Amino acid sequence: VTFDEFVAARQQAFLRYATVLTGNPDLAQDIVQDVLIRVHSRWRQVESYDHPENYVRKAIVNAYVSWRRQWSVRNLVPFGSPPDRAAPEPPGSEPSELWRRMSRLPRRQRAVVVLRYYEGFSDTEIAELLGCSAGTVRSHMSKALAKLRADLRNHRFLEAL
Amino acid sequence: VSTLEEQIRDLLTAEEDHSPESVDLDAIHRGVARRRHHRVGAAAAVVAAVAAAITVPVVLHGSPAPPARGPVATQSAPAPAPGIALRSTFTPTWLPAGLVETGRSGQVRARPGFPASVGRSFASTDPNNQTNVAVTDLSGPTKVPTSAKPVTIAGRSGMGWVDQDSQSYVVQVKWSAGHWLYVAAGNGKAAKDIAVHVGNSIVARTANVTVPVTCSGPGCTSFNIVNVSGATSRDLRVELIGVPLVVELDHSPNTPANNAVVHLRNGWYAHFGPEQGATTQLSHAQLVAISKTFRVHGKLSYPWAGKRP
Repeated sequence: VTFDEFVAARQQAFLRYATVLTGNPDLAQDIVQDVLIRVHSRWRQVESYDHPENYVRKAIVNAYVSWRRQWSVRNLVPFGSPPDRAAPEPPGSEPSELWRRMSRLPRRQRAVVVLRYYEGFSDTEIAELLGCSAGTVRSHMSKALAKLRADLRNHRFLEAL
Repeated sequence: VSTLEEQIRDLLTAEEDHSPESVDLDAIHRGVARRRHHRVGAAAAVVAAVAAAITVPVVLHGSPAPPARGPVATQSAPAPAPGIALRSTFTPTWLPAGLVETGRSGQVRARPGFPASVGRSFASTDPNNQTNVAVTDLSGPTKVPTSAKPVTIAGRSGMGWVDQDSQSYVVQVKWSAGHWLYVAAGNGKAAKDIAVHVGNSIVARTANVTVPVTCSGPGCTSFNIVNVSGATSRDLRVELIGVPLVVELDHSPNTPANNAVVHLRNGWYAHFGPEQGATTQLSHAQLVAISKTFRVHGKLSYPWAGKRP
C-alpha cells in the first residue's frame, strides 16, 4: 500500500476521529494534515506495523493535546481583542450548552472524555495513549465531569432567573 | 432524563457529522517538501527532546549572566546585550551542492542527558533536493546507541550511527573541552559519506545567533530553547520556548485565539502563547500584559539565512 492509497482509504475515518476529538472541524483538518506529513517521512516503517491506522490515531491524539500554534486566518485575534477562550461554533446548528462547555475543557480533559465516551477505551488504554498513569486519567475524567456538571447547573440556574 | 454521560456520547456521535470530507493530499505533499526544506536535523532533535520540560532561567533582561559553559559562552560576556546570544564554534567548509543555511537553534542550558547545544542547519531551497545537514556544537556528548561504530573525524576518534528518528547519519566526536562536534546528514544512502565529509571539513570559526529582545512577566526569564529558521527574510521565524511562556517572532499578524500578538518594526510580529505542557497555564490577559512589556533592542537581523557559510 502506498502512502497516497493509505490516505485515500483512511482519511475520512481520521477526520471524523479528529473532529470528535477537537470539536473543531478546521482544527481537525489541520491536525490530520500535520500528522500525515510526519507519517509520510517514516511511511516505510509505519507501513510495516500490524495496524498503521492505530499509529496515526495515536499521533492525532498526541498532536491535539500538544497543539500549540495554529497558523490560520480562521483564528485571527488582533492584539487587544478581548476573547478569553476560543470556542469555535459547530457549523450548521445552534450549539448546545454542553457543546460549549465541552469546548472549554482543557485539552487533556477533553481527550480523556472523548476517548472514554466515543472510543470506549479503559483508563489503562487511555493512559497508554496519552503517556500518563491510569490515576492521572481518572483525575482528568473526574475533573472534567465535575466541571461540566457544575457549569450546566449554573447555566440552568441563570436561565431560570 | 438522560445522564451527563449519555448526553456526552450523543454529542460526540453527532459531532462526526461536522467532519470535513477529505484532506488535501497536495497540501500534504507540499508540507512534506517544506518539512524537508526546513528540517533542522540533529540540532532540532536534541532541542526538541527537551523543549517541553525545561525551566532553567536565562538572561533576558540584560542583567549579569550566570557563568556559561560549552557553546553558549557569549552570555557571560562582560557587557551582555539584552536578550539571548548563542555561539557555535563550528563552521563547515564543505557542504553538498545547493545547500544553504536554514536555521540556527540552541538549548541554552544543559540538563541531565541533554547537553547545551547550538546547532546550524543546512538544506536546499529546491523542494526536490532532500539533502540536509546539521552541525551542532554540544557542551557534552549525547547518548550513543549500541549500533554506533567508531569513526575518525578531523583526526579525532568518535562514533557514527544511523539516527532512526531523524532518518539521518550522525557522527559525534569530542573537539575540545566543553565542545563536542555532532554532524547529522540526511540523504538516504549518501548520508554517511556526507556526514563524514562535512565533519572532516569543520573549522573552528564561530557563528552567532542573537535574539535581542526583553520582556517582563511570568516566563520571561525561562527561555531555554532558541530557534531561528528560514531561508529568506520573509520566511524567517524565531522561537523562544520557556515555561510557561512561548514567544514566536515572524512576519504574520495571524495568531491563534487566546494568544497575544504585537506588531514590531520591519514587518515583524511577536506572538505570545502559553507553553502547553506547563502546569500553570497563562491566561490571555497575562499574555497581553507580557506583550506590552516586550522590547526589541537593535535589529532582528539574520544575514546568514539562505547563504552558504
